[in-house]
Amino acid sequence: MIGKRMDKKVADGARRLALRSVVYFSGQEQVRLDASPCNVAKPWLLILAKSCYQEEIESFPIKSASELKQLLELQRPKDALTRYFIGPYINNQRLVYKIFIDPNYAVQVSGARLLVPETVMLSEFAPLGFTSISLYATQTIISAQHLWYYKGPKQGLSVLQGGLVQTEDAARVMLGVSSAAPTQQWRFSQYLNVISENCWRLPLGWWLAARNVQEHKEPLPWPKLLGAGIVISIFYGLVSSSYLHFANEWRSKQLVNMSNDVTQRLGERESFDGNLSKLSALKKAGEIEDQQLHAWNIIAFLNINDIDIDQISANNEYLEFSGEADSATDLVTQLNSLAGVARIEFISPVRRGRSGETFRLRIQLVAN
Amino acid sequence: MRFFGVPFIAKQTEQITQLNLTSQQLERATRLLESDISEERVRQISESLQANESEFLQHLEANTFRLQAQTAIQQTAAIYSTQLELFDWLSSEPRQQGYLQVHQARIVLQGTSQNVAQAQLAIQQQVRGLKVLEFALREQRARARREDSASLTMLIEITGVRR
Repeated sequence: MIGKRMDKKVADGARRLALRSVVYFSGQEQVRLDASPCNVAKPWLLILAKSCYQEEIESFPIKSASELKQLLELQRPKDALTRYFIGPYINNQRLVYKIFIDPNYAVQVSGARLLVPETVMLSEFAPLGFTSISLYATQTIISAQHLWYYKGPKQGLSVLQGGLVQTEDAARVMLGVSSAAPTQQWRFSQYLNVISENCWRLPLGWWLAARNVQEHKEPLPWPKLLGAGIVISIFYGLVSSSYLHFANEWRSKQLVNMSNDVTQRLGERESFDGNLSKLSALKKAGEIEDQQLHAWNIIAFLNINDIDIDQISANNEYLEFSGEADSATDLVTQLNSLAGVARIEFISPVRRGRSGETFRLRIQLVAN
Repeated sequence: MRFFGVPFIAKQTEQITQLNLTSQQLERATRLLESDISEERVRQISESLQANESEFLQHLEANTFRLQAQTAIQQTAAIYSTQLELFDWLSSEPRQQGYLQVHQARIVLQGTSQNVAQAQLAIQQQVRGLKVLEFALREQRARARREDSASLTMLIEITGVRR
């Protein structure tokens, strides 16, 4: 959906551009793509009518367009009146449209910046089937000629211009089109309209072939360019250096203005941070570790429950003691339920004593 | 190019570097001035610090400090009928860039197990900054005679504030 809308926008834009810059040359007069007569000495794009040139279509079994172009350049006459348009690679063949422009039209041809023969253009975007085009029916020239073409689904374009052939039936015979095939009729204005909508679709290679290369190029005004370059460089140098200088000065001045406030604020901040740090250190030094309270809680528990204890030692991680109880295992179960006890292990084997089991325990303490 | 371009580019590079440096300094200074700490917060921290400092023993001179600490411990132990059998000062080191001075000592308290336990807790509450690093409790005949004496050996550190 978006693609179609985009395509339409591009087509509209191309059409507007084409109406301004494209000229159709019939061999007798120039018309713009809205069918209005004109006389442009140097048009941007000149579409050349079939009557102005001879056309040969050849096919080559070469896939690479650039290689084929190099090959063709060797045989192409070095003049502006002979143009080769290399077509797409289809069925292992690449079609080449060889255009030989009538020298009578050399002036018109050389004035254009881009030159495209109408049959080349038709071969790219003309609809399939048999089409009859009424040519040159403008306000000044009333007598119309015809251009007939046939484009099959698997073959190139066959074109026939009115001249010796005057009727549609004769054109059908000449082009080998069945009489049953419908005819599509285009008036000249319709034909121009189709061109204006589709001329931008031509392949890039054809635009290159359509270029009119000027043989005598005017030399570039090097001294003027050099002078302009030097002036621009000096201007840039002055502006950028001045900016950097004043920006540096301005910032330095701001820093100097702020320095007293900054020094004062730094002092305040340092003092505040120092006080915070001291307060934190004092609080840490003054607090009693949770583990120690848990250790004394365990000792109180042992005393209350009449557990016979020989020796207790503790630090902030472990509490170790040996003693004697009716059942060491039961004691461990009870101790496990006390706060701050992380793990209990026997650090010597439990033995049967005189009044119970003798043991030695290590309790790992945690803060909570 | 050699006589004009290269020196010009070098000079500009130097100016740009200088400008970046100055801009960064300016940004840091602005940020510092904008990040204002409230006076209320400053006053609060200062008062809290003073209050905490006053709870700790003042450390002007090592011997005086040790005497004060030892006396405080001894007096507190006596309240719980516990004797201070041994007071052995070990080492001393400064902390927090010399703001605090920490002394280590080994002490032995003698009394009933209940008194000894209460005494050590009271000592820690009474002498702010006293920490027990290790302790060992020896009781004799705990099951037969509950009032028998117990001996509590503690490795402690006491923190004093240098003001």
